[in-house]
Amino acid sequence: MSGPILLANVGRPDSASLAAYRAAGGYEGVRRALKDLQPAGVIDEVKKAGLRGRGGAGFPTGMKWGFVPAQSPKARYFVCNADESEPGTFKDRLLMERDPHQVLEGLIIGSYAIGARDAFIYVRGEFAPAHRALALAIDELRRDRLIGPKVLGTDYSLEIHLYKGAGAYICGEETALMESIEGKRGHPRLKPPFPAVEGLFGCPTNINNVETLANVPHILRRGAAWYAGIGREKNTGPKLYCLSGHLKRPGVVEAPLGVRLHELIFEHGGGLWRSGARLKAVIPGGSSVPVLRAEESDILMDFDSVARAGSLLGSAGVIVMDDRTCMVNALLNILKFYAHESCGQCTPCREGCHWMAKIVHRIEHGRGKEADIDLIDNVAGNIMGKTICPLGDAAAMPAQSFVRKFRDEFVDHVRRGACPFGNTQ
Amino acid sequence: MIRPEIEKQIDALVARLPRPQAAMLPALHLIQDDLGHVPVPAREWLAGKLGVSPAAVEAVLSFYTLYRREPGGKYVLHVCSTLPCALRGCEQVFEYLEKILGVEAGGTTADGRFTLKRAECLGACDQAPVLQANGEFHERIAELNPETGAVSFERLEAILENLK
Repeated sequence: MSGPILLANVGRPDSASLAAYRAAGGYEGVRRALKDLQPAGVIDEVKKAGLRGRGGAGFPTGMKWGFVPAQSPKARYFVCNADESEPGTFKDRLLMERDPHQVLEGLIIGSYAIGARDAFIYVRGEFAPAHRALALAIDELRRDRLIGPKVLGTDYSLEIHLYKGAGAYICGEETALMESIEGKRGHPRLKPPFPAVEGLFGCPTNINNVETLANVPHILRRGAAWYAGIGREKNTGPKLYCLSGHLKRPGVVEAPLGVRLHELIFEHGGGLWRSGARLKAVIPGGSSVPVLRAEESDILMDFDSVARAGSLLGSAGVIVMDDRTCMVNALLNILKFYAHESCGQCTPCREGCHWMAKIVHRIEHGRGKEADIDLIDNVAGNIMGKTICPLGDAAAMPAQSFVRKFRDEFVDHVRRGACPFGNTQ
Repeated sequence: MIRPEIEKQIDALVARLPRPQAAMLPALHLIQDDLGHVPVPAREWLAGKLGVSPAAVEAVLSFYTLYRREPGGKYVLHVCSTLPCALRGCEQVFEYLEKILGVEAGGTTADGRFTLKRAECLGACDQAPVLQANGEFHERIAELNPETGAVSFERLEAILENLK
């Protein structure tokens, strides 16, 4: 991969405008899809490219598009999940604010591929600048007839509806997001039926993450073979990594899937922030994935390699912690987040997240017992896999990994009756 | 209560969406942006407009944290409190704000200028610590010295000064 692909445009002046995007070859992918290919041909191209979903699960995008029935008496809908809110993740916001047309081009191509006449973008409520950039970009598209009736003079018509969330992490879960668009509480639905069969408004629906869609125009423009040559086998294409925590240069970095995590931390991220500090732990994929100890962290950052290391690539939100970090306090912060964001439908998650947060709170404040440490692990084990959606797992995975990998630190808190790092919050 | 311009925008939403209830979230945003919060009569009005029960509106309003059922300060400050910001000093920022504003989380200053709230990850972790004032981002609002742990609040003071 020579030079950035997804971030090629973001540094340019006026990067969010249609004119700037077009000057860099923008909407040639839509032209090729609509003029030269049938919907099935578009899906085939994305399958051959090997693109896997960038929202966290890494599911093959072309295969997902293929699940939507090619003939349907009901309307079909295409949804862009722009509800980015996994702690440590800030790549989709950058793409929407600085290069919204790249995302919209992917949305148009995907909508054409599954035969959707209406597409929805659900932007997180806290992202006012991203919402503004997308609204302006959609107006430009309407004016230039890249959406609306008869796109590019073909028989294909598309309307794009821009939605704004209102503060609920759970709406990043695909079926909760659909409930939210329908004007209800963001309560995830039991699956099956899967969205491809019965999604938004009870109709076949496909949903993809912002970054996933940003990859699509490049596949159509430059071909599946070119795309498949980037990254590693079964983990193809460019990826955005979000670097945060104790780094000299935090930020969004573009590199192929399979880049070394230590290259991200020590080269792109500039190394550790405090002089003389040592790396203690890394969360590789947003706060919901298992933490890695420093000695486990020299791994390749692709879906399969991170899974082999016992964690998940997730949203590629890389949170770096040095040796002055209290792991009990860090886990407390994570658990308070999930306890607050549990939607309350399923008992194991609603009760379990709060209990785990309370137990870790008392350990951090010097009032814990040694039996509490195993209790956290036990409660987490009773949440995992026992809920409608993965939010419960998202709290249980960090809880188990922190307790198991940094057990000495939890024990130390209990025996001293205080936080050895002097935290009082 | 609901101005004609707002009603017109809500009618347009209802007309272009597959179901009237799908206009719920955008309609609540429109009402709140106009009135500062969503008062009870507006909730009942919206229920009638969308053909749903008042309880259906209440259910949505009480679920999503950005909707306000009560009036708040002129500026609502959301201070990000999630892990990446916590690693870069957001707790010191929050304590500082509680002290100089004289309110705790959720409180509004006596002059009605500020409401102070904690926010979950605002998606600006590389610019930590961050806050939003009425939805607009303010980044790197304090400088935490990595070696001494001392925090400088100059930028935060300037931000507050500008929010008149």
